[in-house]
Amino acid sequence: MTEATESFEPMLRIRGMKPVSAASGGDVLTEEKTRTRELLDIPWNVVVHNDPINLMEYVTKVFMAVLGFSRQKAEVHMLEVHQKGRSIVWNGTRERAELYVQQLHTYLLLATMEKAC
Amino acid sequence: MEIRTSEAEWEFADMDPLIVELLRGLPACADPDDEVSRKRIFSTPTAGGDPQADSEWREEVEPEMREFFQTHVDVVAADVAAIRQNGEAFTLNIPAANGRAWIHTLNQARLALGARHGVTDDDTAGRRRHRGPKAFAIMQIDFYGMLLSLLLSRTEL
Repeated sequence: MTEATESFEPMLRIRGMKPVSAASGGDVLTEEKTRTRELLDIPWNVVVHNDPINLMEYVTKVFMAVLGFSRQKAEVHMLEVHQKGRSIVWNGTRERAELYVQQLHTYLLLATMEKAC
Repeated sequence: MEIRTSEAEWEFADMDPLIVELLRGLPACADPDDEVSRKRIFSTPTAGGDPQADSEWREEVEPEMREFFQTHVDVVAADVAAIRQNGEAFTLNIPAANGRAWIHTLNQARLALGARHGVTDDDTAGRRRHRGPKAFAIMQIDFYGMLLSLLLSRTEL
């Protein structure tokens, strides 16, 4: 592993989740909290899409490294990507979904996030 | 070409000039210097589903990612520049510590080449034959893929 790899800090860019200042007015704070809570509650899928170039073994190893999958689980998802064109590899909050998408992009996988419902 | 592996490095010895040219071309191939390869290397989080989120991503995340990817390409370029010639044969040494930079750059080059030349599953599976630049690009993708597989077998991501 190179030094650059170890020092890379993924950025989180989450629209609609700006920090709420303690100095904000009460009504605004409540509204922001409610909106933030709603955003957090909506489940998001992380989807990995097929491409004709990435090696199957490489995709498997990336799933293991980024998502903590066992080799068996990683291979199941890799094959789903290969055969069906896409695989949902994770589901949860938007914040985490965005982090996973960014990490998958650093490994050059075609990954997107979408609302689960 | 002879490939020797040890804990410390990979050594590719007795390489012929064609192989060396392919290796010397690797950093340039990895450069996403056109729109189609840029879009592939720096894909967006919603693929157009949320234009504002994608736009913010391009402005805020892509520059940092571009810089990060370039650190890998620079490592590879330095290793390639250090290829030694002994008569007709050439030798490349890749320190084990540079394995991840090589894996990334080989993959980036393959993806950029694939995007530039519109390479499909049929092309990579050999179900369709081509001539000219696309045929050469597919040969590069295959060669870089062979090296990638080798390095991947001994490197943790």
